[in-house]
Amino acid sequence: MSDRVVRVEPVDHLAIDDGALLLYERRVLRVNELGASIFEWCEQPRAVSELASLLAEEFGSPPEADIEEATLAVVTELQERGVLKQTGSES
Amino acid sequence: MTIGAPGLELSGLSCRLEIAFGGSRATELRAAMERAWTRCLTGLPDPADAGGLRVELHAEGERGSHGEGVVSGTDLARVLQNTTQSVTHAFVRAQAGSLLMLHGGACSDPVTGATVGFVAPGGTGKTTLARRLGRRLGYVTDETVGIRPDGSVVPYPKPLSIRPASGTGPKIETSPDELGLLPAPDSPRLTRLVLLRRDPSHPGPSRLTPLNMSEAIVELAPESSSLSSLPRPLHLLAELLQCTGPVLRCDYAEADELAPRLLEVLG
Repeated sequence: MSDRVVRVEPVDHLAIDDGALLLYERRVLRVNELGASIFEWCEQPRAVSELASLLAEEFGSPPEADIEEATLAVVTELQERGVLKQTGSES
Repeated sequence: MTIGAPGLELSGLSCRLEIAFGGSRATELRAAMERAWTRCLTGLPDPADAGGLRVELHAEGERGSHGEGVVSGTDLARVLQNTTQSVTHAFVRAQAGSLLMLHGGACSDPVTGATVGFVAPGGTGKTTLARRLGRRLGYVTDETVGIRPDGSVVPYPKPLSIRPASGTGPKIETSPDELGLLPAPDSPRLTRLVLLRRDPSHPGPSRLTPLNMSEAIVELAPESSSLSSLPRPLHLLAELLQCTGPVLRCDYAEADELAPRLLEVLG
């Protein structure tokens, strides 16, 4: 996976106990802790591999899953929800 | 033919709006507006300017004006109903970025100013509830609850849109005075928000469920106007809810039984 992703800037965001709330116009999205961390890190464009390393460092690696695949699943979901967007290819 | 009638200034949601009348039945229309908008005819201190609206009532066959900022027609009840909607839109536009505005009604304790706001989409019984509560509590609004960042509530005691007894045709714009509703206190203050969720198949009596902060914000946002225009709107909502306590979601089948439940909520 070579594409970088960056966050789509919300109108406002609010940290909550188990994640964050993100306001896009009148739509409020709730993201869990993993999503909230990825949202914070993606203030600057990030590669999925880079996010995977950051997640492993912050939360540890999942016991029976590939960390990059797991990260890609979260990133894809955040893209589908309009929280992240692709910025282009890694050099 | 256009016969002039003096203009009328309407106040509500801390705004003012100038109504200009037109059409051959302008005098009849103005008199009906004065009857319906009795609680919004007194000027407010430092109102936001919501601009103007031209409303026209014509005889059959006459041509009226068209375009933005104009309500025109030959049916008095329909013109009044459309005027109410246009006034509300103008007030909401004027307060974008200043007030937190929720689609709903509100009533206040006449002595303490404690206010319960009930938030719901259209057609779910807000007006019915406001009519019932307004005999015990001060009527604040049945349409748009305007809340300042400090928790004070800005009244918008508009006419209530009542279904005609025939069940068909435009709703009848009716003054809260004509319905015997109590006036809003001088300083209403939000003490509780209730999210109304009507479900005709809901079994048994209405059920009140407290929502946690994030659930409440997720559910309130779609029932707001111009939320994104406010500075740090999620933080504002969170701070407000910390003061009022948890939002209560009320699942119910019939609006008739809600008034006693909301009186209990206000304490």
